[in-house]
Amino acid sequence: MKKPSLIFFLSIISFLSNAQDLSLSVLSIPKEMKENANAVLRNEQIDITILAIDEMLVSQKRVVTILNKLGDADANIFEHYDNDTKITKLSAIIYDALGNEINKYSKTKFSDISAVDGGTLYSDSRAKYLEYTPTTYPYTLVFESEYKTSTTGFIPWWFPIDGYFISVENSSYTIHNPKLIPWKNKKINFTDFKVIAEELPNKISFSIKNQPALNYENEAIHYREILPKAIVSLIDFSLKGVIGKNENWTDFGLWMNEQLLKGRDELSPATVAKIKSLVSGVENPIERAKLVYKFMQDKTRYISVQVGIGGWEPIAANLVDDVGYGDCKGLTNYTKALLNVADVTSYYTIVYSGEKNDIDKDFSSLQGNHVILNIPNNGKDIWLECTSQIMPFGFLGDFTDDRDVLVITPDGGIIKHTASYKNEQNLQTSKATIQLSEKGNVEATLQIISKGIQYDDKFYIESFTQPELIKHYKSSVWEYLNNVEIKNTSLKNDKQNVEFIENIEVSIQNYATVNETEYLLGVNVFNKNSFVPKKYRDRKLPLKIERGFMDKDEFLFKIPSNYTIEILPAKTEITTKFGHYKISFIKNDDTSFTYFRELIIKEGVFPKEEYEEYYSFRKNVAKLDNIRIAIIKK
Amino acid sequence: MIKKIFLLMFVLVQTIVFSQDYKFGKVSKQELEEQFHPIDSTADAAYLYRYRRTYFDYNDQNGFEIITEIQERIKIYTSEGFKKANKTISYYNPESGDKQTVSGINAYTFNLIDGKVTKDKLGKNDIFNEEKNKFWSLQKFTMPNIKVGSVIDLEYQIRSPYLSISDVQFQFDIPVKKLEYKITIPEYYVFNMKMKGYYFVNPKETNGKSFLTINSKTRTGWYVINTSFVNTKIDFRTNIKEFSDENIPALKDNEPFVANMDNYRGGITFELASTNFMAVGGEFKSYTSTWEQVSKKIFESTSFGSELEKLSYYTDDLNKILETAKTDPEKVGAIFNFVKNKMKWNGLYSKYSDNGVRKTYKENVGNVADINLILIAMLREAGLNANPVLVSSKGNGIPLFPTLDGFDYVIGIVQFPDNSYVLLDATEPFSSPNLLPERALNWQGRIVQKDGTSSWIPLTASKHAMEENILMVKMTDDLSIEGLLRTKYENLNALVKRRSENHLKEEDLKTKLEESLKIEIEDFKIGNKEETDKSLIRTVKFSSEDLVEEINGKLYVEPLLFLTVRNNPFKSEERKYPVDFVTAWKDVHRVTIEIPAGYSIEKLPEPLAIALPDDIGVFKYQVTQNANKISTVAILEFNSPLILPDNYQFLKDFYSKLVLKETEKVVLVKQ
Repeated sequence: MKKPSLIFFLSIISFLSNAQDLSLSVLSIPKEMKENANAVLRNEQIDITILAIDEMLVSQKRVVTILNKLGDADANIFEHYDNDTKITKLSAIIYDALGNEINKYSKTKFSDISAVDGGTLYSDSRAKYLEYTPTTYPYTLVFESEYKTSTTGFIPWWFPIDGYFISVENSSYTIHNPKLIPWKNKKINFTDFKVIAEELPNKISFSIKNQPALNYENEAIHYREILPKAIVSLIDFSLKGVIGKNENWTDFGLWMNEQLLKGRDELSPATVAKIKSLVSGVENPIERAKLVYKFMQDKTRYISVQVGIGGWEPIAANLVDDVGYGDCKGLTNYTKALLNVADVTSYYTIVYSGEKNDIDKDFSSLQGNHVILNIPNNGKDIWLECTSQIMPFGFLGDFTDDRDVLVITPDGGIIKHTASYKNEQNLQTSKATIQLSEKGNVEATLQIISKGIQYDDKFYIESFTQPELIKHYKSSVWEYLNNVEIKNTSLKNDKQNVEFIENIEVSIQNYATVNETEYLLGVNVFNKNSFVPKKYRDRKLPLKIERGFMDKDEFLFKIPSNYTIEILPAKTEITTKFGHYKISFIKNDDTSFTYFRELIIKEGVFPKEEYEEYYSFRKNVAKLDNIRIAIIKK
Repeated sequence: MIKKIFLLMFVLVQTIVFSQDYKFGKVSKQELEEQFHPIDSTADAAYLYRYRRTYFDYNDQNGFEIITEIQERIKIYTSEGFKKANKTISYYNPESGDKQTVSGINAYTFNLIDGKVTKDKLGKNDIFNEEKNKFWSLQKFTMPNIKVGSVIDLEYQIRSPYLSISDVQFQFDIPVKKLEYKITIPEYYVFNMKMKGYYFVNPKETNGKSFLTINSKTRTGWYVINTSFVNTKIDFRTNIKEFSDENIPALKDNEPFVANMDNYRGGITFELASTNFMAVGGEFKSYTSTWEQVSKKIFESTSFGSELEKLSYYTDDLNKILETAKTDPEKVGAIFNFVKNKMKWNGLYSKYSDNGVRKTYKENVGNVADINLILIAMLREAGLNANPVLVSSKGNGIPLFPTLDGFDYVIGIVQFPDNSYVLLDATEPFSSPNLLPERALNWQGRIVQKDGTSSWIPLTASKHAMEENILMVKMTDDLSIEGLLRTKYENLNALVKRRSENHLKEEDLKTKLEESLKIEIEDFKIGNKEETDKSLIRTVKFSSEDLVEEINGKLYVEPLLFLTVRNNPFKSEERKYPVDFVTAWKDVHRVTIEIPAGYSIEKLPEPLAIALPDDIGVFKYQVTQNANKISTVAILEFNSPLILPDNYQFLKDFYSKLVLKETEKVVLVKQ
């Protein structure tokens, strides 16, 4: 009895509304596609035509159902454009849950805005976007756009499942090459997914169906590393009117060197003379490079200016020399030019900055988002970050370390791997002498020495003023301590050895709990690690520990004169594949004891089954870091 | 003799002090040598000088136009201050209509290199123009050769065909050493000034004289046409407001409980009050003067009053509602819920309807006025005494002078015959009658009656934002804690909680709570999610191994368990602007812990009751024992949404006593 009435109901609706499209109704979405999903990509069709080396037409039609408020971000009702990209078609139609049309927007209804981020001084990047306020959930968006561009260096990638919480019913990608312009492609992570691929001399197409949504999980490998993706690239391509070569990395490097770098390293005779005199008499090329690097750091600052061949050509060295600023490309090219004058060979190097991400060593194309400098140094590469005024010579930090990069040499591009900072190299050593008073107050002197990424994490505080520094210790470092007063600080940034040394005098009122019978104090005063990863009942993704580190602590406690140390806790040690934790106590004499602590966390990727073990390891560490002991009144 | 010397010295000192040259491009060696700000050593940069001159310029094509000339001299003390070397000038540049123009950008960087002053000019090619959107454009540049110690001197001019004087700002995120502003207004224009923030510079008001020349063509002659140009010179008076000050402290945005830092930074807003051209044969026109007139003016606008008059677009829906809703309170509730559920707010603030009520009603989307004017119209049609209330939203600051810009938001009010009333804002899906969202909770609003007359009404939340926790747990033999937590959120707490969490999945809320409280949750329920007229209730069945500590055979536990406040949020020594809690609020915790057999209580914390001056805040805390149960009641209550700077020290001490008390532990010993 129920079914006919539903059909009847539906047919009335469709009768009343001639703009209804039943295929857009949410009723047709299978249940498993809605699981974990905030949005469902119902149908995506990307259609690209390579008309010439410098002419490409990209059209897309995207039908996406937004299930809830969190899915609004997946609507993406915008299209980017710039000086050599023209949007030729743009429209959006919104349908309700039953597939009835609610709103229709033509190109003129889209707002035109600059797409320059706040930190960038200039870029020609713009966007047309639609500000849409959803009135009901779920709703379905049909978005269509088409643009024409003369840049074929950036053929859109196919990345059908672009993130978490979105399922894909159908996504297809077709690229036409009627003139058979030489091209190549790379398919990534296809094996674990049912991707249909078709490759003809004049056409390549990929499609995928019915992929459920992926749930986000903490401490997991990036979705980029597991989801399917395809890259298509022309062997000869155009980048804002400049023809590029792309057979392999060697070719690509030769092209970059010839077209984008050559001749941009000229400097004024005055600057040349300055550098010559700066390094005169210094025999060791690395010592010369250090002097030049310092000269560059003192002279320049980083400003993002995206001019010159789509933001790929560096500003000429003499212009950077004039104004004292540049973006990563400009500053790197400038440093290279200066080093050249100082007879030190160095190479412009392209990298992905931020979270570790490699330049694909097997597939050459326009990749990367940052530039650093390489000094070959007989196989012991030195890497320079040229956008920082304060980085030590040869130190990269976690911004660009431990990843494949493209080094541009006059003989072509070479893939190299940057310096890495692993586990024990990221060492923080703390030593404190802690005087306890009868009332439970603490007076302590403390020295913290940080290396590797732990150096990177804190050496910037060197430039803090005293009030900022005090706030930093009170609010960030020792947020868990109340009543802490910073009495004195002295910081030393040893750039030569890449070590940051903090000497701090601290007092803490009412630190220990004191009454007639007891005197209780937490022994890990200065380096509590309370991080516990999120608990998962059903972990789906492998565990990834992005950064390893080591902390060593040694705190000497001097107890008040009318107290005595009776029992000290036994040594505790936990060893796991993720790291190691050890605490121990030594009674020095009747008035003092020392607390030793060691924590090592190792970077790595571990199967999902081992996540639980890591969770309990960190939970135990957090618990043991809270350990308190009692001293007894005489 | 001594007197003479003193006088001489005085004159000398005077000369030295005043010899400081702020002429554009004349930067002194002393300015370059200065290594830190003499008064505020934390400053990363400072304005050594800020100059502004705003005046009216007459031309035949456009009449009066407003010209603002700016000079800024900036000292860079640290590399953190380098960002002050980036400058963005934004100007109104619509696709069609009158445009503002920026001209005369001149800028130099000065450095001291080997004892010599160097000067680098900003290149014309290094100034970029960016069309931000269809209304606004930006001129952007960064200064060359910036180093620690550099001084920047820059100047530019904005010409505006619009008769509005841009805000005067006294206070910034960096200190100002010397400030000189001069606003010259022809007698034909009267502007109101609206102060803002916690720093004020008194204007020096004087009169001046000026003139304008009108060029008109006259054609004479019959056979031979002679064109002669007639110049008419008209003298007029000007009103001059001069602001001059030294050593204005910076106001940085780095403290908790700040609604809108710009509200606290000192400055002045101008609004055109009237124009009077009667002296030159024109007419007098008043724009605003009293709140009564401001409200009337808004009321008379076609996007306000007339939108309220429109009928019939909602009739069918209203009739349906009125079939069941019979009493006045029922009608208010039903109509409010109907509009609130039907209409979606597009996020735009306005006192004027944008799309018009009919279109909004049809499309279900609108700005604040679109939605609340529909609400008011429907309430009126249902026979209720409903009126709009003009509001200055939280972001708009507190209006001190009667200006049109003083209001940017509108809500509804229904007044009953017994003088009681309810305030209504249908833009917020989780609001309820007399519960307004934070953005509307700003001081007072103006009720506009059907005849256009108006009066004030307070807008601060009438009820405390409440959170009540009832925690009943049992300590097991293996020292874990298990039990039930029931949390009740009321008023603004319920609104905020519903808004931030209702759209999230229960599973996510559960794990989020597990993480923040370090507990394991067995059962998790949220009650009254959508029933905004009821409290939001969360019930959690949980266990935790982290709450009891054992040291040498004794057990230690905080009586409030994970509800303990362990950190004082107020860490800074002083504060020059209010602590803004948005609403009065109250947290009540009732915790009962059943202790395991074989243990007895060695020590319980003493009770504590403390209060802030003038009853603005109270904390009461008591732990008692009843057989094998420990019961704790903690009440923290703030009766005012704002804590003024005078009371900051008390507040900081109050919180540190609270933290100390709540972190005291109960001690249990084995019998």
